[in-house]
Amino acid sequence: MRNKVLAVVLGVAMAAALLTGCGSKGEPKEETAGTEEEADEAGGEDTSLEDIQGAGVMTVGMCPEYPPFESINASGDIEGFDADLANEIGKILGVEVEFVNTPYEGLIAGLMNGDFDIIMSGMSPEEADEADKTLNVTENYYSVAEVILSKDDSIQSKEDLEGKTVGSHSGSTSEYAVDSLADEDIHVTSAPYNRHSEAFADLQNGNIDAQVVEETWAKEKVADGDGIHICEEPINSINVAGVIGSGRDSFRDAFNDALKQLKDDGTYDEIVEKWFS
Amino acid sequence: MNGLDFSPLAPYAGLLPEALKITLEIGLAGFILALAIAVAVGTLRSRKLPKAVRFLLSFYVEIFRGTPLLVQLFFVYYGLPSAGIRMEPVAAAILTMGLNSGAYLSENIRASILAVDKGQYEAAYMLGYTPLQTSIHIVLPQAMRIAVPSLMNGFSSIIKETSIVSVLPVVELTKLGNQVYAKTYHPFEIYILLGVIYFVLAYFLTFLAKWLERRASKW
Repeated sequence: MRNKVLAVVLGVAMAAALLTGCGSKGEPKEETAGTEEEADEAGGEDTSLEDIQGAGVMTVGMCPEYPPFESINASGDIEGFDADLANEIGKILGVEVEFVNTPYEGLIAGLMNGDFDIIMSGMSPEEADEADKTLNVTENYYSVAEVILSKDDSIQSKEDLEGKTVGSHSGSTSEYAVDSLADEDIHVTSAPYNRHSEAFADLQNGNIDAQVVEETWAKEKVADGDGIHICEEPINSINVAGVIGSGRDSFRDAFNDALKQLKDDGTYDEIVEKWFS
Repeated sequence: MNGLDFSPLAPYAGLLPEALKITLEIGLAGFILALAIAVAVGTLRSRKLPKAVRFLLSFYVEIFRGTPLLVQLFFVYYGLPSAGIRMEPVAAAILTMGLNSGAYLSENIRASILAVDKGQYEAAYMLGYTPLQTSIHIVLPQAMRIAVPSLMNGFSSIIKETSIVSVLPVVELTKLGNQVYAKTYHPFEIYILLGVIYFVLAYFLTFLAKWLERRASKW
């Protein structure tokens, strides 16, 4: 559903742009990268990195409903793997990092409207591509396996899902994993939910046979007493990357350099250790 | 479901006042805006108007009654920036809720105005009131009295509908609930609590409505 919402939003945005005569209202202060402006941007100079460093702030859009990638703590601040990584990258770029608490379905639209500089919210390059092929995607900074959860002991691998009802988070990497089963001739009924936790509740209530979810999420949520098991063999692995507005190559390159530096000096491993072990 | 346990939610209790404040802010400001729009549009639509104005007003009412609030919120916050109109999320929420609810309530106001006896207009005309004076001093006070129950209905609706604003980057009650839910995984406890909070707010409003109705009928 999220993709449909996104499609509606983009459609509406484009219609609005057309209605207002391609909306060149001369607002040079911000890169409100509406779809119609991309052509212009390609020819213009890319000052994205200077803009961010000049402002002294890198704003990061994230939906804090996906521990351990990001969630809120008791004081309402966002914490998690993405948050720590963003902070470290901010240190290297010499800027403050600000998180913009945004619902997942609003991330791409928010990025395009210039509400923040980058999305770091457990998003995969495939998701960004599907929204808009011209979006910049950073190097992958994590990789997650999509695993199968079930109460039913007869379900131990993806082949066992034949004919079953499988829940996933609509529009996310988990739904792509469910859809990919068809390519392997495994036929399932897909049950999309707005959030993993909703699919999980339905799995516990016995309304679906299995749920596909990121391994990191599964390990955090599945407790011993649940009667739910995590199948050993994952469906596939999905990469996670930062998503940046079209044409903002210098910022993307600086992000990638900073990421490499963090991997080289061991900071990256510390963050992984902190959130995923 | 093995017994309710609210204790994992306790650490997050400190976040509640801020979220409650935003919910009330959007609800109250949205309602006040809706009321202003409703009185203006309702009054105008109860009169004979030039065709263009009448068309414009019924266009507004039909558009906002005929499309889902969720779609309107997405359009205003995520769609309008590509036309150069940018707003803070809370402002976008208030504007959208106000426009949406204003469309519904304007019909209530219009109906209430039509319920005022024709003799009142004739008497006002006799006394030399202009149409505007008639509206402000004679008709609206009586119409508002008739409209109080349905306006209060609209108010409690708007308070509950603020939960839809959770699709914008605004941490109001429902969004806070969702985010604590994602963290603690206690859906029943969280949504029971949310339900109770909304219920208390709405129930308080019905008391207010009854009190207002009693006051209004004394006039």
